[in-house]
Amino acid sequence: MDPRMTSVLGEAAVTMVQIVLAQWLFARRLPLRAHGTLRGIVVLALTAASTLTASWYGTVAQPDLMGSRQLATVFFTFGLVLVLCVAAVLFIYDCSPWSALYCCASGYTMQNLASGLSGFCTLCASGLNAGLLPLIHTLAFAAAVTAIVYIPCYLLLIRRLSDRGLALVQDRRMLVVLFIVANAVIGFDVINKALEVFAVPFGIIASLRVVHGVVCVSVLAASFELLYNKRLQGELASQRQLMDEQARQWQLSQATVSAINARSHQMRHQVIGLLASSAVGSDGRLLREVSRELDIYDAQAKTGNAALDVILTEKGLICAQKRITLSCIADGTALGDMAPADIHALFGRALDGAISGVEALSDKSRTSIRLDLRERAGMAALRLEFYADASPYSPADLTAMRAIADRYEGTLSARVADGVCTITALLTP
Amino acid sequence: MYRVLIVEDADAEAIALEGCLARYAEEHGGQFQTRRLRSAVEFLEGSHPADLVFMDIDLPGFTGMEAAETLREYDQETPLVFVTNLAQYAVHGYAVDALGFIVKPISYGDFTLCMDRVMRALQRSRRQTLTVPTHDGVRVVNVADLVSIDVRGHDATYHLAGGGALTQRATLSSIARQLEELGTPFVNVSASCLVNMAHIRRIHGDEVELSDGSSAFFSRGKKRAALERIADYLGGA
Repeated sequence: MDPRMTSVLGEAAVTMVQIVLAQWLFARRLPLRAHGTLRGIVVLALTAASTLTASWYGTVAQPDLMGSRQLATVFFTFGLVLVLCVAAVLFIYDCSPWSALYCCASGYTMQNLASGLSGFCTLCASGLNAGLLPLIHTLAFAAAVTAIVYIPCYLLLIRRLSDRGLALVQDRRMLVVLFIVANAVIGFDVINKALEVFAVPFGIIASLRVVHGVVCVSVLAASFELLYNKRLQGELASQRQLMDEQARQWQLSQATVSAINARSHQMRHQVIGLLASSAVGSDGRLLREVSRELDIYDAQAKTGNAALDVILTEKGLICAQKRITLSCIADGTALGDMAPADIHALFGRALDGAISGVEALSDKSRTSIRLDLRERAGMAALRLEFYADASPYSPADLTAMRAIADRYEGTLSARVADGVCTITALLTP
Repeated sequence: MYRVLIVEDADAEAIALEGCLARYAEEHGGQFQTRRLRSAVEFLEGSHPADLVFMDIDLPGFTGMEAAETLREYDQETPLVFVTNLAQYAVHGYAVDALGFIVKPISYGDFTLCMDRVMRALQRSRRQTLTVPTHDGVRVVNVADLVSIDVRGHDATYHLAGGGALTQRATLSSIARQLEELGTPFVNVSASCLVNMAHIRRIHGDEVELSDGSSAFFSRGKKRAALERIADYLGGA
């Protein structure tokens, strides 16, 4: 093989390995598509083939490509590689195009930082001590530079991307800006490398290389902050606020239910006293009816979990008022150490939705809500069913309930089929 | 034909329940043969085989809950539905593995919601078999005895309850398709493993402990969908 082609092929192979590794580090937490591993192998094979083809093109097909034509060819090649990386990520992983774009643009920028550092070292070696140049052009050096850049990026950025974090990447305008900036950074690197043949003073080229490095780091940090971290912090703040509000509501409900129970208990004793006394006539029917009504208000749920008792009692009172039948089989102990505010929020939202769904029905003979909560497979299994023409839950309701289920390593789903709305959840309290 | 036992001392309530069953059978197909007992004592003293039991909680002598506790000492399978005046007395129905309860006076809408769940449980308990062509010949296996199926390359291993395994040359997707067509309770937890949800003993993080002591693991890509299916199944779907 032509020695020049060997050298070019070697450099291209190192670059491709760096790019593939960078994309993989950002994208690895995304869910794989069916036959994801096989798809990955296909992509790697195509990458190897295209690297060989590009090297051949640069050294054999177009050996005399120089100057601005060479610059433009190199720039568009790397730009095309970035686009193909997005396609490859979408081919292998089950994710949105925006998540793929974020992974590829960030991965590519990280690779560019490593490439820039390698170029800077080459520049310094040739400028300060030409004897070091053979050392620079070794695989070990390439691996060391890659590690020096990739390891801090992994620890400071990539590791902080949670499994669902990439689903938060939704600011499309910023993503497009990131894509454009990544291409600009590539172009900057290409120009920096080309300047060396024009006898530009060492100090200027070295400064440009440092600027390139700073720009790469800034792009990575800014994209992480703008596209992911800021939104995550905003969501955390909203969740914290929501949890505080839920805790306050839970305390309010607890106080209300206690007050109602105490009063209804008191009233029932008074009614019993009146019924037993001779002051009441033989027709104590009205008083007996009042006593029966009080049974409803005295009906405090006792499930083994105080927070669940409060919310079921509260919603039970509301259902009784609205003539809705609420049937609960609930083992509150299945909820274990689940936070009372979470229990109040989850069951409260679920039952509020059920009540509004049932109220909206035109057929008033179907005003029933059934709730079942038991321990199954070491988890709390919840099922809530009621008649409904359509799901009464807003996207915000479902997001809030799923967020609670997620906090307990569980799952929650809602669906409407055959006129029945069903919420099922599994939680690990 | 399903044999339904109604344990209810009040004639009006028993007639209402029988009426709801008849209407349900007419609307949903199926047949119910009902029999009535008036007390928990009568229920416990004789042998009353049934596919489904409706039990009034507030019975003379023994309460329905006490009768259910005695029933469960020797019969953990027969579906049980309580009938009650006040909902709070049935909230502990899980302790006797009751499928649900119906509040008196019985409304047909509430009855239907409950019966839909009962019918799913009855259909789930019907015997299903699977034909497995192994290297040693064709074997017919009771689906309820299959704990899990895992596939390595093109070799599928069917793990049976009580030990033992069968192997067949097949892909996971073809097996999953066959099991889905039969309506069996199998769930795909990873690219190489199907688990019988009836044999799930415990779920802990990504690990699924099975009744034979073995464990299967969720893959990241399949965990969410698998958990949702398991939630449906364990919740009575």
